[in-house]
Amino acid sequence: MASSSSTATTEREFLAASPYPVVVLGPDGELLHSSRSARLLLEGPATGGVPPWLRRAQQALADGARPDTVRHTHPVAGPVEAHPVPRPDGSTVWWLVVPEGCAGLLPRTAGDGACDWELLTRLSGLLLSSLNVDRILETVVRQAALHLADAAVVVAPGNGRTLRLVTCLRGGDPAHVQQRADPAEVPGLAEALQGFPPVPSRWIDPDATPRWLVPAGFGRVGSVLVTPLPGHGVPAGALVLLRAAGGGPFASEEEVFARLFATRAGAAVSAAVMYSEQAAVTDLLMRELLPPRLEHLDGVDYAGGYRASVDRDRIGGDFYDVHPAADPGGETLALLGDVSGKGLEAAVMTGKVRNTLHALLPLADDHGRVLNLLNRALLTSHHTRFASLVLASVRREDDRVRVRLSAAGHPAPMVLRADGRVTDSTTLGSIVGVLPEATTCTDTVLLDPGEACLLYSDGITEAKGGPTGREQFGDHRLRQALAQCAGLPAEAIVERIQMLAAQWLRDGRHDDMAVMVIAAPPRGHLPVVGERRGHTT
Amino acid sequence: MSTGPGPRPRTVTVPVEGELDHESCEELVRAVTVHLAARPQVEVLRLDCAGMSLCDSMGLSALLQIRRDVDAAGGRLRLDHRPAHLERLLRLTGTADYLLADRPD
Repeated sequence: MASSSSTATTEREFLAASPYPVVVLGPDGELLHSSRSARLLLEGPATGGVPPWLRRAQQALADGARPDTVRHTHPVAGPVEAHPVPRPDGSTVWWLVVPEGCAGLLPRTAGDGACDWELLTRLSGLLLSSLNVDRILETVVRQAALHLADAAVVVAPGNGRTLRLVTCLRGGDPAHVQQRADPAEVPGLAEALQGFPPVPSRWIDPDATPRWLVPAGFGRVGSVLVTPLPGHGVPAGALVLLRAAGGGPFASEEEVFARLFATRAGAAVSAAVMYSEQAAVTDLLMRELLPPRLEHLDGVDYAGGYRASVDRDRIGGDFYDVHPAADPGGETLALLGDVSGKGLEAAVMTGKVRNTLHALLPLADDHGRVLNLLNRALLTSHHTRFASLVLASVRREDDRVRVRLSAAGHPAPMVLRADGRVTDSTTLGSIVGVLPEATTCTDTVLLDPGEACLLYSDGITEAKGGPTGREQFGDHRLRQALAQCAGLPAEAIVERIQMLAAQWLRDGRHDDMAVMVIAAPPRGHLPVVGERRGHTT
Repeated sequence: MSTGPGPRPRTVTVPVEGELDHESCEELVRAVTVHLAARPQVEVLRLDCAGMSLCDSMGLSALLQIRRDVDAAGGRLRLDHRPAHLERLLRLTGTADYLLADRPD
């Protein structure tokens, strides 16, 4: 007897001290022995020491199943493997393998003595796994309820007098609530929402907690802890931790841990808020910048193609527009350009260029004047961003099309003749937006039926790819490609150029690529019903 | 370095190596700013472009910014050993006269 009892004690002590989580379960799943680390790992809401998944595995073994590894995803530790070793007396030793770094360090409540850095690190990782504000708030309350309290509530400033609440009971699912309520009803909450440091929990009377703050299904509140979620500049909200009556007050170490956790949570929430605001602004701007659909106008064919850079940080400022003539017989102004740089600043400048040019339409007879006025409108001492563009004033004259071309620091348009010859327009001019004066010399091109003029951005010619992956598509390949398009309609030319550039690139990174074709319809071309024509023959 | 009769102009030469693009242009502007701040008496700032393999629109924007900064510091900018691609870019964008001209008085 004495010997057997001594063996049991030794085994219990031996297992309790095991650095690896291990439990010994009886045939019916009852807990016989366990290591401290396993208790920390397995303890959770309403488990009675053995979680249901492990109890089920044990019962399966007792029913004659082959001892096999059981896998389970722990809400905090992550994937857990349980390896069974059956013993002759019908009990089973379960060795638990947890991801590196969390063995023995999964306290139900943090702040057990020294600060649990490992838990804090793990929670920080969870917080940073999303840029969605709602998801992060859910993670905050879920983890806070699991590790720091019996229930957690995040209070975020809503619109006007409403508060946004995200609540969670320990082990439960988070709930979102919009509440018309006064934060001043909770001691310390209004202050926390303004970013003031937390009031010690023991100063807060739990019975004064208003019902709107307490998640449904939570009984009497035993203690309350209110902690600000510090954001970038402005607080991201406040974290309220609730402990059920009888659970004892929050220890000062727990308050410190809650504060550290709240700091991380606040940073994650405000990063997500900033990200979503930026994404919304970018989307709004990019929507504004989408090029128009081009077609047949006043007896001239227009086609355009735009392939935006795939890299978010390389969203640039290529643009094109076609402004129909104000009067019958007037000139249509087509333009294609590019703004230096990438991202939002480039997008903003693109919008500026397009709007200014739209306003300058009445002066479009004089390209030099338009470019000079545009130059002055864009000139600033803050930066040296600039735009390059080509203006094309287009008019149908009998069955030919006259195009006045003015380049402003932009590659000169190419002209495709009916016989497949490709020539460069001779227009040349300076960029706009950075030099004291803008200069240009205008070139006039006459297109016979079936001939076309190609405006393009340097995203096409500078597209890197080819056999080596590093070679630029270049002017000469563009010229060759265009030569093969003789006789094709405008739309088909655009598609072919885009296709060849895309093939050249394969999967390479690229800038925005814009092309526009202005074409004189071939003879025998039937005008679309209802089209406006400048001159009829 | 320029030599010649009379007092030698106080000259700083900054080499431009590799691709001058959106990734490297800020660094060059910063380097020039540092030089200008450290030597207020500099009269000529030379960018040695011999090793420049590419200059894109952001690179050009940086050169224009440097020109402004040098002007503001009362100095002169020189672009030495310009490769053909840079010449072509300056010509296409109509910036050669502005970048290479002496400071307007």
